[in-house]
Amino acid sequence: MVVLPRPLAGRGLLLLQQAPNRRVGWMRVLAACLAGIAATGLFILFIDAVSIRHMFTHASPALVAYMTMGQEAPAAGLGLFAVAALAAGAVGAGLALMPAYWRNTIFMAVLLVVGMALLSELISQVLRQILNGRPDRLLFSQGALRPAVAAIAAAAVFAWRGLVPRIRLRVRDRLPQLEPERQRQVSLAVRGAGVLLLLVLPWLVGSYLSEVLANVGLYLLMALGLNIAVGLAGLFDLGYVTNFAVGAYLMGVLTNSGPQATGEFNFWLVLPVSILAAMFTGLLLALPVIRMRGDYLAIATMGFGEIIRLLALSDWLSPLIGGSQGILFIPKPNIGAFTFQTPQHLFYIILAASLVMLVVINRLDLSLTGRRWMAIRDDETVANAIGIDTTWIKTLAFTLSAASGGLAGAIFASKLGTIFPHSFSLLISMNVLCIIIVGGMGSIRGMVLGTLVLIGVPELLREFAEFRFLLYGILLMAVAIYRPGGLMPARARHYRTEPAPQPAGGTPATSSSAASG
Amino acid sequence: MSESLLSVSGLTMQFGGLRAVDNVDFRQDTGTIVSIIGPNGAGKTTLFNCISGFYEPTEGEIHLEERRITGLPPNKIARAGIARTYQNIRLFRNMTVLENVMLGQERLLRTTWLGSIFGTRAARRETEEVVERSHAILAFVDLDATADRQADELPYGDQRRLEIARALASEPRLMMLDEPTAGMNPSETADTERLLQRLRDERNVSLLLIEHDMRFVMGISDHIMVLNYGRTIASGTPQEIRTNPEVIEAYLGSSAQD
Ligand SMILES: Nc1ncnc2c1ncn2[C@@H]1O[C@H](COP(=O)(O)OP(=O)(O)O)[C@@H](O)[C@H]1O
Ligand SMILES: [Mg+2]
Repeated sequence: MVVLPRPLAGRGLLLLQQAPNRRVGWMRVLAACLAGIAATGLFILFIDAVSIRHMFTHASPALVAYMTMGQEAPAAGLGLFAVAALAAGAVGAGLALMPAYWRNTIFMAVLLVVGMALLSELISQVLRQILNGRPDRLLFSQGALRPAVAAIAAAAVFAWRGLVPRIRLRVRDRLPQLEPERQRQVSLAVRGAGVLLLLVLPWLVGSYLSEVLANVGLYLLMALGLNIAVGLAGLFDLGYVTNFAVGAYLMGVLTNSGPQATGEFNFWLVLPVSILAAMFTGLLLALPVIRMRGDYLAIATMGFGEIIRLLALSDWLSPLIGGSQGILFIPKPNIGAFTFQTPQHLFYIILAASLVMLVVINRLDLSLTGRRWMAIRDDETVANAIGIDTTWIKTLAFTLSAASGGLAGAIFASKLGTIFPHSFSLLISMNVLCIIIVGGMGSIRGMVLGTLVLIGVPELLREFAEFRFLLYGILLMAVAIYRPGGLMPARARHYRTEPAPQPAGGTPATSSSAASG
Repeated sequence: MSESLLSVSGLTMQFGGLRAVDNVDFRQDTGTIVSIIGPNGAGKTTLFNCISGFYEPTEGEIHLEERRITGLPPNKIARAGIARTYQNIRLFRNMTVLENVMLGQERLLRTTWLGSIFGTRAARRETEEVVERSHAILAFVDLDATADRQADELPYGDQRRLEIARALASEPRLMMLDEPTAGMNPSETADTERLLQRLRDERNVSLLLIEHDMRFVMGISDHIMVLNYGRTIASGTPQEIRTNPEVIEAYLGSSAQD
């Protein structure tokens, strides 16, 4: 019964947000409620009188009963229904009329409570992982969120909203006043804490969430790589899966102990080989398309993605890479006697790879090479005319971008233990491209956020797995309309020259400082 | 011949049936300012595009000092020491003012992609040098206060000067400016003209200029070339051009009337 007023409140709110001023807003809410009541009422009366079940199987008496809140006669139910609709409309309108700060706060609180309820299973699991006994019983009873907990969570949001700006202000006031040495210590401590948190994370969240995080990490690797081509150099590469496939197949072929066994080499030996092979493929595929621009490039690279999948499927290569049977018995990575068996173990390999790539990409992003890429993105002709060898620099973008995809593919193969051609579909390229567009082209923070939102969240909401691409579609449209730069747009790169040379007292080895940006 | 900086001989650029540049010859000496004038559609920009390598000329030769640069790709020509600006501003719009000038120095850079990835000492030092030089150049064109702003946020006149700064950043042997005052209001025009004078006096830059402001062209040029329908109809000192009857009829006369 609670379900019913919700869409109405939503509708009232939506209409109000579009309204230019408040008075008109009230009128609209009223109009919306009345229209909603009239339309729904007519609908109820209609399906009660005429059976349309042969067309709409769900238009059943049960639905009528539900919509009239269990009243026998639809007419009596309609009265109740109207009251509920008005009340809901009033709630929606009240939300819209209050100051944005409070509205956002309430939204966040609702989001948190609904999120907790949706993720009840997951949260219970994590809690049981960390604490002994059944700590989850404190929060949930029979899988449902306890009302008191919901209230506390909501209150926490309000407190948080009040506190955060104050903390931020204090930090912002204090930090620049500290001595540079001290500042560096603070930033180092913050980073250290972050890394420490990441290190214990798999044991805090358990095996399932570690698996989710590992997948997020693999996509992050690909997003960081493709971001070089798309985000920095402006080259729309729709065939990124090619690099992922090359990395995966090389790892599979060279390490497996199944029918395709070739040498059963060690993971760590093959890893760099996979990366180099992916780079080499990236280089080869760049050659024919390097003079294409825009749409043509996108179509051509998309073709490569399909070619690589068909090659993997082909009988011609099947003696080597297994055709549609795929490659089986790919061993997990190991160091000596220790094998990275569980998702928690594998998380560390992916974390290490991600951190290394983050450092490398961050450097490239601020470097003179990064400037050349961005110049090509903004105006290729002029970039050429100031002396940039655009052909080479674009080839370089494809090649380096491929490295990260190959790395992700290699880890993927070893993590899964088996690979099949259908794992390397166009969808992977599309997903990675979505991450870049939604996260923010050319923005490293955007890649992280984009991967969490597009890969992490759908994994958590398994019930809604079928709607994943609906979510992508909606997000893409919303971003295109409301935030063309992505959720976290790339920031302008600022360069500061050192104000004064450091006193040359220490040894050269100790003078390594933070990034040049 | 020894002090000749740029020499163009028999240059022709044919677009289908149209000879946009028709058998043009000229020479420019180091340290001089040469201006090209002529009505719209005369082929001035096309001549620039041939010299900077955007078009491969149908016929003719272009030499920078002793080096033949005919038909080289634009980046090689830029590296040889020719920088240019565009009739329609073409900045790197989404990058900062500073970055635009940093990029202008491309032909002087030695940092490779490996240096960038590994953040080598040499790469870091070069980045710092580039940033410092960029600030100095921005100060020269009076744009240093805007260094961290996005290029397309600048007012129109400043964008034009930024384009000149980007060209200047490569320490070019020859700088080609295509209508640097186009679309400017009188005060911006005066600023730009002063800047070009300073380029000559303080930086000793050799300039090849397309410009419509006759008073200014007459004042600053060592040599003027008049194009009409792709052909050189006159070439000489400002004094010679001013008194050339053909020029007066084809160009000065018509522009004096409007
Ligand atoms: N890429 C091109 N293709 C065909 N015609 C061109 C091209 N570029 C310029 N033209 C033509 O060449 C002539 C000279 O143009 P342009 O050099 O831009 O003149 P100006 O710069 O002197 O005003 C014009 O008639 C123009 O239409
Ligand atoms: Mg022109």
